[in-house]
Amino acid sequence: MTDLLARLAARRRVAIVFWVLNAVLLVALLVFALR
Amino acid sequence: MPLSLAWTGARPPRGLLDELATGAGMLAFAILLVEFVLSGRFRSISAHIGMDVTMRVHQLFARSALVLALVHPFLYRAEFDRALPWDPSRQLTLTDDGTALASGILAWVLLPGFVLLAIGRDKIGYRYETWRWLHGLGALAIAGLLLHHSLAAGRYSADPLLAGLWTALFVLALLTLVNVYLVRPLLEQRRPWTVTALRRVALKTWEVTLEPEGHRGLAYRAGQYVWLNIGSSAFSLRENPFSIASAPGAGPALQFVIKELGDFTRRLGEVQAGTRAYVDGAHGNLTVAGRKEPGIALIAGGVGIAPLLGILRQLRLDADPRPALVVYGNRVEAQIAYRDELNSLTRSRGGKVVHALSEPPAGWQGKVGMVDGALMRDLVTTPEMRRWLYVLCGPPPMMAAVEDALIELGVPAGQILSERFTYD
Repeated sequence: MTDLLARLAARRRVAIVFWVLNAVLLVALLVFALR
Repeated sequence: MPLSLAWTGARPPRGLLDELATGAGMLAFAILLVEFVLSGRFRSISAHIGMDVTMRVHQLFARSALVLALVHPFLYRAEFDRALPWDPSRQLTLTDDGTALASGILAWVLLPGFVLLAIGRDKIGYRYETWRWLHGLGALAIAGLLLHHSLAAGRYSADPLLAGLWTALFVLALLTLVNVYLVRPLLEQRRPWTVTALRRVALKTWEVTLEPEGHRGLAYRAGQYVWLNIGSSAFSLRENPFSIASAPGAGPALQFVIKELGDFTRRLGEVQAGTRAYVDGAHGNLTVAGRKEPGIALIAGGVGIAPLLGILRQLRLDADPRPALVVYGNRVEAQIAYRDELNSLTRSRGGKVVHALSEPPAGWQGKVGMVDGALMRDLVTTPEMRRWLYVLCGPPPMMAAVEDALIELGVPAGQILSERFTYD
């Protein structure tokens, strides 16, 4: 698991940041729409 | 921020889909405006996270903005109608103002084409300057249309606070273009450079030396890159990113190693000594300054040797005693540049240079094949080497293979530095 995370961190760090930020934006959008 | 301003505004919410539609539209516009700052030309950003990361984030978020923008009009359930007297906050209807809708529709039509033109940039093959004008002005035109649409058709954006925020962000985006296309060239014009030497160092590979004209040169760290413009006006968009191969400690002259690849680099051999050049930088974070690892491995593919050469040269000037390993991959032997200097710089610190050729000549003594995981497993043999710093510059498949192998060998990801110049 640690290996996998390390590999993800090295190779896919931009993709990880992208999907995390996208998830945050989508949650913000849902919270906004459901208020 | 726009969402929270819309939230705190005094307007009552509508149904889920209407609110999703509005939210998606606002997010798309906000992302598009942030994209201007993520254009890779701001040192405060690229020096910290690297240009490749900045550009990749820029490219990926363009896709997010596109998806949000495309779904935005289809989620609405409210009807197009004039404002009803009993609904002053427009909870029940969407504007039926043709102009307000037209700007949005035009932006909606233009945005997919604009993003596709950017993604297919290499395949379409337009000239680099054409591409930059098209992308910069196209983005500004779409942002302008969206500003009009938001202010004229937007329900929440009718609030002065949110309208002010959109306008301020649009002005900020405009200023980033003014900065890149006008302010930077003006500053560069006051700090010109001259090409003092042009030398062929390997097959289709040139070394270009620049000297500052009447100024003290550039503050940079070994391994960084600049946007370089040779032989055109400072206002021309004929500038390309190139890694600096010289060491900052060696004096104000800048050296670049440039391979004949694109429309500018193919004409490089025709450049005469004395040609005026302009430099914007330094950018990037491929640098070992301040790193305390006990050894340094520099792994290059082709012209990726340029920043690593700068790093090696600076290490020698700093009398840095740490051992170094250089792994240098090329297709054929004639592409190997700076062979003697690399040997001298590396051996003096008890290290070695490993050459790998994918098409070796008869009797080749070095490694055969690409610089890949198998080669790295052959070279990283001691536990001590797991604590080294690994600096990578080369074609993306090489970097991916080497990064994977290093991680497998137990090198922590934080000890692997890389910068890509090719995306998508």
